[in-house]
Amino acid sequence: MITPRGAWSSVPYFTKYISSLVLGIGILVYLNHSEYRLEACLPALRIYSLLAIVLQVGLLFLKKAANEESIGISSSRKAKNKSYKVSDVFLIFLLSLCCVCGVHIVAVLYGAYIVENFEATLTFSIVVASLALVRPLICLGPRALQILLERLNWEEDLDLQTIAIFVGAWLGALPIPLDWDRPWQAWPLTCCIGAIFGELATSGYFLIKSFIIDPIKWKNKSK
Amino acid sequence: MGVFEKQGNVIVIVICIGELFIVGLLIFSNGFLLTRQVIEKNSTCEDYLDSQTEQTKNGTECWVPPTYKRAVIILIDALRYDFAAYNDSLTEDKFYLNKMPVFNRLVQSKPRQAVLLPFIADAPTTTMQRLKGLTTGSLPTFIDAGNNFASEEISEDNLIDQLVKCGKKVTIMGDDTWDGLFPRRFHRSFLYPSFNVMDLHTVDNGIISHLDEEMRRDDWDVIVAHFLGVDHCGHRYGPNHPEMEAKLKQMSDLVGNVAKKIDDDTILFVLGDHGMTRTGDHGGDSLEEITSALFVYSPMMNIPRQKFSSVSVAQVDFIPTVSLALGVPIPYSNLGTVLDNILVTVNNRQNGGMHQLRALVINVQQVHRYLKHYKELGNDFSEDAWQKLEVLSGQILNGFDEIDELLLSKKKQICVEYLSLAKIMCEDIWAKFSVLEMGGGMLIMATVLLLGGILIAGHVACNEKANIVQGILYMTIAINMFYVLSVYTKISGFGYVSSLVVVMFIYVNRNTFNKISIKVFSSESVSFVIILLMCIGSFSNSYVVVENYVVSYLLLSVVMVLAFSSFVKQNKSKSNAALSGKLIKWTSNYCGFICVSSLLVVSACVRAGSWFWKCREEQSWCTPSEIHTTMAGLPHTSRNWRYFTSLFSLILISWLPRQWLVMCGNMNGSKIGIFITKTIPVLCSILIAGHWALQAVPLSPNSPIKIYVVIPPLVTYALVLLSIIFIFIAPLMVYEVPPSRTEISSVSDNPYMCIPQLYHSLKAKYGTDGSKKQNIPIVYGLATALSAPMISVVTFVLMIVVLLAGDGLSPGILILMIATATCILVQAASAWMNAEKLGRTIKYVYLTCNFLLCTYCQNSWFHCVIINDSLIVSTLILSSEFGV
Repeated sequence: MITPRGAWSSVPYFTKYISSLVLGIGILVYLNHSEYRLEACLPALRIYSLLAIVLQVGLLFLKKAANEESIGISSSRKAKNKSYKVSDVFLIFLLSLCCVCGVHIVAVLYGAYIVENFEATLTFSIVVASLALVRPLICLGPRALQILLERLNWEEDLDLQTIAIFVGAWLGALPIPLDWDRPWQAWPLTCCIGAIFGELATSGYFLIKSFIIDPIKWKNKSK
Repeated sequence: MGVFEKQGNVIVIVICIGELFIVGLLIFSNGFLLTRQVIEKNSTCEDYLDSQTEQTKNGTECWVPPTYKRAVIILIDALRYDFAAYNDSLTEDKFYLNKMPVFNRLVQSKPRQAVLLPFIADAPTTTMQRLKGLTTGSLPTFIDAGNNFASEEISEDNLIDQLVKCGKKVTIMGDDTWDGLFPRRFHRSFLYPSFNVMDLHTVDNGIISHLDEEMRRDDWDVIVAHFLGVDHCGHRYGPNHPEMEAKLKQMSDLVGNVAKKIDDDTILFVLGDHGMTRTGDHGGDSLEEITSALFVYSPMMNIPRQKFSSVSVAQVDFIPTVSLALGVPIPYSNLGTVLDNILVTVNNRQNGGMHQLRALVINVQQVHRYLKHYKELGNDFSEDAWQKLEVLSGQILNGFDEIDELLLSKKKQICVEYLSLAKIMCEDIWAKFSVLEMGGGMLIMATVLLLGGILIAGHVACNEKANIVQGILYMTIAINMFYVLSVYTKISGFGYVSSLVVVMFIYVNRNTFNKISIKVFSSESVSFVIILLMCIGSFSNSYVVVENYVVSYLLLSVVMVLAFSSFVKQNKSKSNAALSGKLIKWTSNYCGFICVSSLLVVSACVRAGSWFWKCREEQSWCTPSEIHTTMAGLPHTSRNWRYFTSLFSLILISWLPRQWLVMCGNMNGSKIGIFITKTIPVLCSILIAGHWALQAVPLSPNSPIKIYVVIPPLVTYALVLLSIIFIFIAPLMVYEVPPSRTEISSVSDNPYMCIPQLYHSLKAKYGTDGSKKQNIPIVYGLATALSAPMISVVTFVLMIVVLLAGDGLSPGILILMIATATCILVQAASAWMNAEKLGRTIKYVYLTCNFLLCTYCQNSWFHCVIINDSLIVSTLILSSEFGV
């Protein structure tokens, strides 16, 4: 009885990592295919971040369905408590917008133009905010940011992902000043690609970890 | 006593290590920053009035009789040689090849009157450096050690000055940097702003519209027209672009027109100041960048046959050629060789050879005089080359009179040999690194750094400490003596010996330092990564060019990491095990509030500071803001606005530190330091405001107010110096409340006041039940007793900085001050939040943060280094006070 339940509930974990890996590699391949032309890349990046959010929401529902199915009627009340109210959804939406604005402001403070390249900066902030901040918001609820700051745990996938995406975006700015004259050096491509790399790295890391290194721990934890 | 001794030891070690570092730096800079001493002497007409000139019975001329009366100098920025040269056997069509047919046409049709030559510039191939080279005839070095750093004005003897002195009227057209280099020299000027690289046509069309009219006038002797279109086109589109073709064709037509219109006794020079690379950039020393073109044409010129076939000409050769062609003295520090063939005209064809020789001999005399003077000032040339030059100059100057035609060409050859040798000799000492000395200097710095690192990381036993300190002291003295000795005896390789001494010292004392322990905290590693990034970045010129952006990026990163890591740590210690998920009220925490709000202010200030950046020459995309122009240069409409914003920020600069001190309670009482801190900044601000106002007033050159303009700055300097001395003598800015007298002084007549007074005195009596409590002193401002004098000194220094930076930059300095102060606040708050864990150790994050802050300010303006050094000290004091 225990084994199938553990296996069933751990499926969303794998699908999450695999799908985010597929999405990330897909967008990178697309960027490369479009020869890094900004007018093609920026919409693609926006669609990518939208897809990442949609994926997260979908996984959430899937997981909830799995939980309900496995745990049964006895704990359905608990599950109901966990599900979000309409006001929460609205709050998450509002906070997501705030996150995008916040990332945009931070990008400007770090040296992005205020008026010129507005679309590029906005795209960058949408990508980073949706990958690093909106997904935790969806997972953990409106208080996600406080929770993240409070527990900063290297073992939690959400925390590590958020940090890796920020660090990736930060490192992504480094090649911009080089005089190589490559199309991908244009703002915001390097930073977005850096963030996607951060995402890929954490997804790969957790995928490998959950499969090979200690699958038992994950199974236990998923109980 | 023990504490004092310990501190004394630390100071000795710090001073010694700092001193050793400076020695290394001096040796390094000796090899790297090859400085050339600027000799501020001018050539005059009377220098070489030999018998030959007097025979010509012309009183007005100088050195040699003028060959041409007037000159038109067309300077086409970034005119590469292959733009101008015509290539018949062209297979592939490029937008920049064969687009200037005028040169080829003139050279082919009038080979005796026109010549086109490759014109070799010296690196660095930037316009400003090239203009200096083109007008002074000297070679560039990294630092021209002149006496004014602030102004761009050329202080060395130059062509324009010589022309003006000889009564020639110079008209300038085009690039407005000329006005900065030679203010008030030109008879007429048609200048256009040069900064917008995107603008290809304003300057060129401006010149073209005036050139024709100007040439028709007759009150000019020299016209200099500086076209920027080709350079801007290169920067914007690169050379291979249709715009370049149009531009080159326009230039070609223009040169053709001018050549058609000039009189017989006028000479036309068309030259480029540098070339460009394939991408249209310039600045380096590649062949494409240094090879530009020189075209000379005059209807009267009579170039001897079989000359100038494929020779290239150095850029410095232009100056003596123009000077002697127009009959003015060659600038004092010229090193070029006169192009003697250009001095032969139809008129002096008969004795053309003699004329050429005289020009060359004069040129040799001038160069020899310059080199001799330069050597007398204590500079060195290589001994061999100098001997050779002496011999050659002896040959040239002796027996000038008894000359026959056969010896003429031989003599000329000797002159040319002398001049080329002199140039090579100077290039050797001015334009080459001395790798040996650089290596030695770097080795000393590296070993001293190692020693410092070992001293910090290693735990020295107490009984060994005195020995180590003594050892370091003796070693420093010994190395300094070596250094002085090596300067006098001129032995190179000193750096290697002294670094060996340092290594030996470490080796001998290796047992003392055996307990080396380096702890790497998690947030410390961030600082190491950032320092490592800066280190690696300094090896790449792309990062060096945008250093201001890089530094502000890293500074913000460090500050953010500092702020957020302190939150994470604090929260972790609060709720270690369970994930509460409750909203932590991080802003309700006082320190947290300070931290977050300061973080916001720092970020905003650092970003806003970028509006005040000066554009580096390499940053071709950068358009300088109006802030860097002085108020007198602004249009009338924006002057008031500028003045009052500057005044407002000046007031804030003096008011904010004062308000801080008032908050800390340091402004009570009437001690001398407190009095000074209260009054001097206000006084200085008034003086500075007056100075700005006086500067903006348009003045006639000989109005009496002109003398008074300098008085406010002088008074400000004196006041600031005096008050710093006073603060140094009496630094304590605390106020001790005199012991309160509890006796009822007098019952007031006012009945309404009587009751409260009685009540208060009773209450006071009730509180003091013994005489002991009265002895507790009440002191204001004791908590900030250490930082208060520092802050007041910083305020004084800020006044000087505002004065030096000028009116435009005072908002920038305000922003910088706020950024620095809030950055220190973030550090202090984060230190406070981590205080329980770390004790009193100094974290590397703070050092990194301060280092970046320092570099940031240094990048913003040269002057601001001073404030920061003092601010860093106050940071440490301030954070230690917060810790206490």
